[in-house]
Amino acid sequence: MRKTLEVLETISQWSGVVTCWFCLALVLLLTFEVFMRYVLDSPTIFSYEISTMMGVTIGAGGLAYTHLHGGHVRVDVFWRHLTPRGRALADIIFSLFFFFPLIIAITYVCARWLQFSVSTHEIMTKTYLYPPAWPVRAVITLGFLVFIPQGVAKLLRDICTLKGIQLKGIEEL
Amino acid sequence: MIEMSPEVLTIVMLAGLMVGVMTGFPLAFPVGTVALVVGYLAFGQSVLDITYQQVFSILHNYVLLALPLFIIMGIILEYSLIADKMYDALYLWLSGFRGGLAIVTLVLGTILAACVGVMSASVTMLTSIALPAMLRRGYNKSLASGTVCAGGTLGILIPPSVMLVIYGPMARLSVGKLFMAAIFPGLLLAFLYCLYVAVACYFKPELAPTIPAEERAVPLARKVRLLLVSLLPPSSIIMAVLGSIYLGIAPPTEAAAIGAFASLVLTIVYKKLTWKVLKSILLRSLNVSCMAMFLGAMSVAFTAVFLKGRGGEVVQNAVMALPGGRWSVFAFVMFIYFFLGFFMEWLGIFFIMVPILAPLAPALGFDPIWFGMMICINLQMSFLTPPYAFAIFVLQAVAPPELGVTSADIIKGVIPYVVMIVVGLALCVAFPQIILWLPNTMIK
Repeated sequence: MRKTLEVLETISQWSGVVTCWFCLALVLLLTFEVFMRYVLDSPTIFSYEISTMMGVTIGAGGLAYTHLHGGHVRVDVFWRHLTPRGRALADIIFSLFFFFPLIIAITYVCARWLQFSVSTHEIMTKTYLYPPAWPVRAVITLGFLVFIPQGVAKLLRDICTLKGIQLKGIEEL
Repeated sequence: MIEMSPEVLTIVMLAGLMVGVMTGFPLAFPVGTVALVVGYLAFGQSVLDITYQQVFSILHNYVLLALPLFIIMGIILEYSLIADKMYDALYLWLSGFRGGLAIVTLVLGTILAACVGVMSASVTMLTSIALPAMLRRGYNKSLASGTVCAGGTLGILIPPSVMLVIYGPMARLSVGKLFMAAIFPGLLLAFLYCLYVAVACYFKPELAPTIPAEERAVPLARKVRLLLVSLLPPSSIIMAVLGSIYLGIAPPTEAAAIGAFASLVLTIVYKKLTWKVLKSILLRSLNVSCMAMFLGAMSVAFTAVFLKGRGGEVVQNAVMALPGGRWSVFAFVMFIYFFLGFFMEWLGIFFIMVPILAPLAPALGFDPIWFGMMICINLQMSFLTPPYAFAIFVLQAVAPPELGVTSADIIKGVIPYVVMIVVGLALCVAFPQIILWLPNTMIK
């Protein structure tokens, strides 16, 4: 189990490490666009579309990483007063109700849209760039697809906490 | 599919939301699950596509790109140590007054607020710089910690502000105009906070011992130089971001990118940017942005199901039917936000409640910008009021344990500031021009 957990968490960690560079790329791209428009007076036609694609990548690609590091915000009015084992138990129970059905359903519908997009050669019509729509839809699907194993990893980690098994910290990944 | 009257749907969804929130499970999941389950019961399979389209609309959204960008900018500035330099300069100027260090904290909080759009960044900076400094000088723990919380929450009101970046698209208002509308109310709150500190320390000098004169004995020329040198970088960032929005040069998204880029350059100039720092800046930005975007996506899915089931009309009709005319409706709406703020994360409140309640503003004959601004000021209290008080949580997480600041100290300390926010709200009701003057002078 320890080995499985490590593999799953490493995947999430790396999905974040890869995705986080898009944050920097986004800053540089839009700064470049402003520079092109106001200094050189020749705006690019791709920056609007590419930057929203990067936004999609940040939002979907970071899901698993954020979950790994407990970044999804909680309203922990009661939860924070529980013992670590109580917290683990609560998370195990509620993840069965709130996490898995929701994320699996969303992943399913993402995949369906991806398949639709590929089979119809769907294009984005917001700008004159008319890019194909499938890359964006694929990134969203991938983001949620990596989210599911991270949910399993969190479940395993909580079970270990419940059983009193010592694990390596998340920071050591 | 089952037949569900709008009233039943409203009650089921809101009750489900409340129960889900109380489980303490990360907020986005119960919110999304309630949407999916109730939506499935009411509309069948099509709820999946509704959810997908809402997720897509939040992730693939140019206006909301400002959200990750302002988060990145705030986190970079946290690492640039810009706040330490400003603190040292302001200290020399203001520490001579009674309660001077608390006023330094508030002034610093105000300047930082104009640089960053996320509260956690400004509360973190103030907690690590201003709080230890105040406590070392024997300041009252409640006063010190309350001041840090209040000064830090200005970060999310004074533009650039992620709160307004979200309010805009949710209520179909211009984010740029909202930014301009927030400047004077933000400064008003900052002034009221300083006023409170000055008055409290005047009547109770033991709250804030004065700093011995010899520590402040620095030649005037040096004081001026330090102040200018430390204020130059933040003010150029403020000008770049807010100036370009005000003058219509760039929309908030691009202004945010310029701000983030400028902060990055500043961090390089200050020699604080290493490979490791850059990586942790980006990972933390990803963490916070992704959390906000996912919670946003799930919340708008909730709202989409709610509005499709005509729950919005139920809520609007119920609120409009209140006796006492439009001001009592207004008071009730403010109360709803205030009440939700006790229990819920503001992001969830915004993504869910704004699309439902914002249409009331024009229906009641209020200016939508003013109405939105009042809600944003109102929600300042939600960061300070337990049980769910985000600013207090950040302070507790960041403050070194050896300072010995307890929850009771902090809660006692924030109460006067909550009163000041109420005063600020009352002033904005009495003088709506505080909010509306600047956006009306803006280039259209």
